[in-house]
Amino acid sequence: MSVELEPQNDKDSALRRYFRNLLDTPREFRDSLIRHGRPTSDRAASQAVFTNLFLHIMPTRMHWYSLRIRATLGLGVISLALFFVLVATGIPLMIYYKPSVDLAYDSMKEIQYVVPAGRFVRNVHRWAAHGMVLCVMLHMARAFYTSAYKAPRQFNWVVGMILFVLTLALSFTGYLLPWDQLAYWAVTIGSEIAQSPREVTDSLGITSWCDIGGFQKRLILGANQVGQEALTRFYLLHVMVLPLAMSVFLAVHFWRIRKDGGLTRPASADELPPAKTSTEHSVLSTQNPAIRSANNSPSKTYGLMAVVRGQTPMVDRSIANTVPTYPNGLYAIAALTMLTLALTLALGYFFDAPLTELANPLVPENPAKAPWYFLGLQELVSYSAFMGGVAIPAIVVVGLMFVPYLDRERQDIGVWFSGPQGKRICLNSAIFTAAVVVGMLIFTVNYGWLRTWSPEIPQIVITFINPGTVMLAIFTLWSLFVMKTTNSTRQGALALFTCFLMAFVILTYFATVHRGPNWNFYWSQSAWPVH
Amino acid sequence: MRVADIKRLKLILLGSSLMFLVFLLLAAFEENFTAEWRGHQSAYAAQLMTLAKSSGKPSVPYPLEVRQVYLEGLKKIDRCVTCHVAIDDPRFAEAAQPMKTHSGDILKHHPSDKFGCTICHQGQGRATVKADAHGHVPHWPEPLLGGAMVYTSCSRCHYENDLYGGQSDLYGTVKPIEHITEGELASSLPHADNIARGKHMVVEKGCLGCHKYRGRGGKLGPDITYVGDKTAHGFDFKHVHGEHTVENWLFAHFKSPTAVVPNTLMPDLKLSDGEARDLAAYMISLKHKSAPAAYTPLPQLVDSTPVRGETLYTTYCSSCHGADGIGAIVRDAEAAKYFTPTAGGESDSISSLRAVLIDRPRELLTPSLRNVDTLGIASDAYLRHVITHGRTNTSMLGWRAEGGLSDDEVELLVGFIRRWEPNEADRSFVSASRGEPRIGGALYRANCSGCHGLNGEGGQIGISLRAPGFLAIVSDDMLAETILRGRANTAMPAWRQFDNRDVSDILAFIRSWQPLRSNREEVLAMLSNPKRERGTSEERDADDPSSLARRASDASVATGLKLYRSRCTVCHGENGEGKIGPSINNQAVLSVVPNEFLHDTIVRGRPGTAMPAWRQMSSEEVSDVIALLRSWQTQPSKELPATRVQGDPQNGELLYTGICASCHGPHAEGALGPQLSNAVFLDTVNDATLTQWISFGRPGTQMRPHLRGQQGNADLSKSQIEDIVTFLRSLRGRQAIDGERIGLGYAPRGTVLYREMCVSCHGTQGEGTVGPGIRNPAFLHAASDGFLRATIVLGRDGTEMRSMSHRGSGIVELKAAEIDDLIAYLRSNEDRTEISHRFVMGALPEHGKADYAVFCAGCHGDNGKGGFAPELNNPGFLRAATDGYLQATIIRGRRGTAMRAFGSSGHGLANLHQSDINNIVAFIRQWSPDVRPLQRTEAFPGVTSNKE
Repeated sequence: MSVELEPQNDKDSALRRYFRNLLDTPREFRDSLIRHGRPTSDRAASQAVFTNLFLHIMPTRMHWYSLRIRATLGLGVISLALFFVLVATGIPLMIYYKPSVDLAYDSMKEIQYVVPAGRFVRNVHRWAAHGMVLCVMLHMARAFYTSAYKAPRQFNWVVGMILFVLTLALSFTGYLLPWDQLAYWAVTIGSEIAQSPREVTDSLGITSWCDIGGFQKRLILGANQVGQEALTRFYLLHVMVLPLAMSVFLAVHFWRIRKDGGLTRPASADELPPAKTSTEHSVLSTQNPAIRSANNSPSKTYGLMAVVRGQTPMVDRSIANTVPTYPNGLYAIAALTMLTLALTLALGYFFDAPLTELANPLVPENPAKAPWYFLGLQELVSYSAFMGGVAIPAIVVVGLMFVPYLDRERQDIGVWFSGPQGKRICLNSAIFTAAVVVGMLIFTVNYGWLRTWSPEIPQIVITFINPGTVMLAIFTLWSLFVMKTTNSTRQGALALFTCFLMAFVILTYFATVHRGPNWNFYWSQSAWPVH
Repeated sequence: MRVADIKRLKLILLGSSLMFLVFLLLAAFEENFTAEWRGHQSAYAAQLMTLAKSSGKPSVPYPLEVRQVYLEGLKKIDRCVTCHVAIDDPRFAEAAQPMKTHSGDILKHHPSDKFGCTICHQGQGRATVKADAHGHVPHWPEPLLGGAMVYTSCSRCHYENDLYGGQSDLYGTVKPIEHITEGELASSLPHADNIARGKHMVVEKGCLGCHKYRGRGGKLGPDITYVGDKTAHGFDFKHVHGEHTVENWLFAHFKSPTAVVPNTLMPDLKLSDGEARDLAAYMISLKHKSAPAAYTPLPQLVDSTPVRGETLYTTYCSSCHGADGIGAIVRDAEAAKYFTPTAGGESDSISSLRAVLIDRPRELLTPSLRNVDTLGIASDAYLRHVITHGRTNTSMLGWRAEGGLSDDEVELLVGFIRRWEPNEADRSFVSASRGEPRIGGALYRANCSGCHGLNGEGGQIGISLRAPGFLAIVSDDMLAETILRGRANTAMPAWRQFDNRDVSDILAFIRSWQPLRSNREEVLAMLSNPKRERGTSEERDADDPSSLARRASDASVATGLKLYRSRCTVCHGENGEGKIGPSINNQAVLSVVPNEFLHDTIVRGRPGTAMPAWRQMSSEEVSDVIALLRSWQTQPSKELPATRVQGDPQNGELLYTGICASCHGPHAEGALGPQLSNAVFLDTVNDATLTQWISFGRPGTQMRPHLRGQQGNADLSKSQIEDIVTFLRSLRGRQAIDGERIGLGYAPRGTVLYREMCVSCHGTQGEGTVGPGIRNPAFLHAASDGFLRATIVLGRDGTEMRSMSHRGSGIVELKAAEIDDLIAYLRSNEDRTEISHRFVMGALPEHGKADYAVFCAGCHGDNGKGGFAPELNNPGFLRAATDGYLQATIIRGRRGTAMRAFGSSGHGLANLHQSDINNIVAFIRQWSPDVRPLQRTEAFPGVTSNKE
């Protein structure tokens, strides 16, 4: 709605006008803020989205499929919502937190006991952080299983991987800040893992002039031990560097979603009968036929098709199968966001974030366990620090990044598991992986590994032949086998990804529940030797 | 998208927004209304209101807020007063917690605004919830201290409860280790009785024998200096019931150590519950001084009397060697190490080690110190060395460097251990004349014959006691000294178990080898007609009453001269002019001494001087010599009364000190002038002779006249001289002062002489090679200068020791001054504690190896590495033990232990010959040939040799 110029009326005195203006101010203010008033047509709704700084990241119209729960499970939105929660709770925490080894722990106590609702805010922050890691992982799995990484979305997949790594880094850097035993020893473990390339360089005898591991550790800690330097670094990374990087890549991520043609969807979603499109899927249109007739033809055309090269959904297709983003998409996003917030608050209200005793470099935790999302890796680290902590995760992350460039098959994009065959392959892979991983764990726990059988064996052999690498090799062979039998790179990729995901889940469970002091096997924590 | 979907979305949006708000409000409500402390504060506010009403005063509003004490110095924030609102309000003494007033007057000295609460009570001061604040929650290391346990916190600032007080902490590490003082042990803070009791228990139970506290103590157990800083996190509670607190763990551990830590070395101390609680409390009180200096009161100055040796022994030694020194059974640290269970199973290597150790005894017997045999042969130097340096491969650590004891304290310990020896016999009652030779013979055969031979002929280990030359010059004092104190670092033990009777008997037996052949009456009779030639003295018949008269004519100056030339010239000169010995052709002597004096001097010698006792001379020979002496006499003998003078000994002592002491020494022990307090001299000389010498002096010597009108040193009246004589008589029973010495020589000159003449037998530093060690302090202590002189001049018959005089058929001729120089050299290092040591010479280790295999290996192991008997192949032991120690132990065995006597007199397993024993010793030495016991390394003092 455009602003109406009010004609000068001599009958009205300035005083009257003043009071009328005063009364009108809220409405005027709203109008100036939203500028369009309540949108009464699809076009107006589009315009509302388009002209709003915050909303214009959304397209004015969305494909109806994208709004279905099964299309995304809402994981991206939830992750973003959690990120906002983290920023919102992080700032008050930052106000009270003192990043100094002498004061950090005490400031945690202050937050717990004296800062108004400090404990609550910290709990929410902590739950949001863990939730975000989980949701980002699930989001990635969703994207993979629905082939969302395929052209033209290859690069956005890469950006997604970067965001995944940034999420883990944010979570891990935040882990140290309470400066309690849990934090201290988890980060110590982490820094040992960073140093683990020494395992290889030592074996090759080149550590003295090519100490990658030592460099990495010093880069992370700024010292030989976790101390003030490490705390300063972690704090800066946690509150400034990583959130900034996160914001930038998030922006790129969202920008690319739009530019790459919105969310991925199966080809079948566009082949719906046109009858359904503009009548039933436009809420406003159905609600208000009068307006619909008045606004049937757009007064303005947007040359979006000219901006993006290649196959963009808008180029050769009309606005068929789309619905206005306002209100459909916005309500969905708002509902999801509020639900996430509410659940996070509930968790934060009922479950306290842990705070163990003050970090004490002289009293090692036993077992010193990393945060849960690294526990699968820690299990691999227990076989070989370099392989489990550096090589395998690097291979997995880099490998995943390159998946879009290795698997370029075009069929069944947007379909979960690429159809029934893929679903079967995934199921088989999951069962196969479970068998391999569980079998390997049973074997290792009962019979040990090379070092047990021949104590004098050079470490380099164990570095390259350990349960982790053996599993990696088996999964790779399995994937190649699937690729060969199905004659499809997509099926091979599905098999490999399922293997990784399943192995991650099992290893994480195993390391969480069944590993105790000295990384020995126990059926449950109650069987641990008491300390 | 269908309308229903949008509706559902709106519902979800509404619902979750409401939920969001609800939780925000809940959090806010909890924050502002339901906090625990608000209840306590409003109850207190209400009480205040009531009190104000009843007293009629206007009530002061009491705002509800978090209250805290911010302690900048302590870096603490204590919010305890948020709930404990009335700790300094005396009106609430009867109230229930948390509104109760603080008990006692502690707050008077420790105002809560300066000290807060948690510095004493612990707990989590920052917390505002009771459960968290009291700290009995997971992950809070310092839970609230209850009851008397709160006094364990005193040591955060105060030193009074400290075992060593604050002294050693005052100056940091710069200050050398000081001894613990009695005052420090006794000090304590008021109320902290449990801590004080625990502190004393640490001493009484010998905890520091295994545990180190502030750098002092053993190292078998963990250092306990800051054990109170350990949190429950640092303990294994697997076997401990009850709450996981440090106190509970320590209590259970003290009650039954092995139940809490299987295979710990910690012995069961058999403590009562109360004792265990006190000890646990004391352990918890051992914390860092965590408060800043401003909070820490200066330790009160306590007396600096070192704690008694007994306390030191109890503290550091009793846990292994037993409270009364009879040894104890302790767990073998080495074995226990492998039997300590490890978390989560064990590796195969540990299992195989266990298999190896399965036969190893898990408990070891620590040596008994309270053993006459041990103490008899262990010199102070040996004890000092073992305590100071420890013994490698055993639990015995070096208490100086590793155990942190000061030298003073080691000395105190040595002294205390020595006290277990029987009291030394009263030497004033020791005399050969009091002894019964037959009993002495039995004692000798049982105890001495193993080394010295059945008839005193000596062997490779013991010297010959029978040699006439030796018996002539050795005094009873020296023999008694050697028997009772032994000769440290040789095989000669200290026979402290002998009383004065036994020693006298043994002396009598030894003296019986050299019976007195002359008779004073006979000699006097013969001298009554000195001009006649000697007849057939062999034909005399003691039973014939007429023989006395007949033999009186036998005294012959010619025979006397021959005897004099052969025996006396070396000291007294060709014509009695004196050399080493005094001039005896002096008229002042000859004219005032009776023949009795001369006879007694010849046959009894003059102990403490070089004058031997010529007991082997017959009456005729003595009378001949006396006749010779009398032939030099030109003045008539003075007629002197034989009566004793009766003066005032006290006055005499005053006069002696003023006039005589400058030459004869303050105790008349002899210095420039001869020794007067010599028992034999005083027995021999009569009062009249003494009076003469004092009155008129001895021309030709430094002895001046002292009688009034004689132009001498003093103007003494006759009665004054009598007083002096009476005083000298009173010195008859004087205890022999350590080796009578003259100290006239010049040691550097003696060094040169020693190097020229003595080195080849007695070693470069007198440590002994084929000859005995003669710079052995025990020897020098026992031997008088006279003994040394006589030995040097006369040699020792029956040994390789030659006379150092041509007259004595020696190859060199030493002047009197040179002998003094030699003696001065020998004595120059007498006060050193680290002494040289004689080694077994010329023994055959390969023979010893065979004997070792037969007699010793069964217990001590094939390589001396120990079986159930102690390890011999141990550098620490071999460094501390001298060859003499080994010899003595092998010969005598050690009563009370499995070590039997192997010597020929020992009623032991074997009658080993002394050379066999030496072979074994040489074999044992071979194990660490580079380790020489207690070797002295310093060079010759004074001038270096210029004649080689």
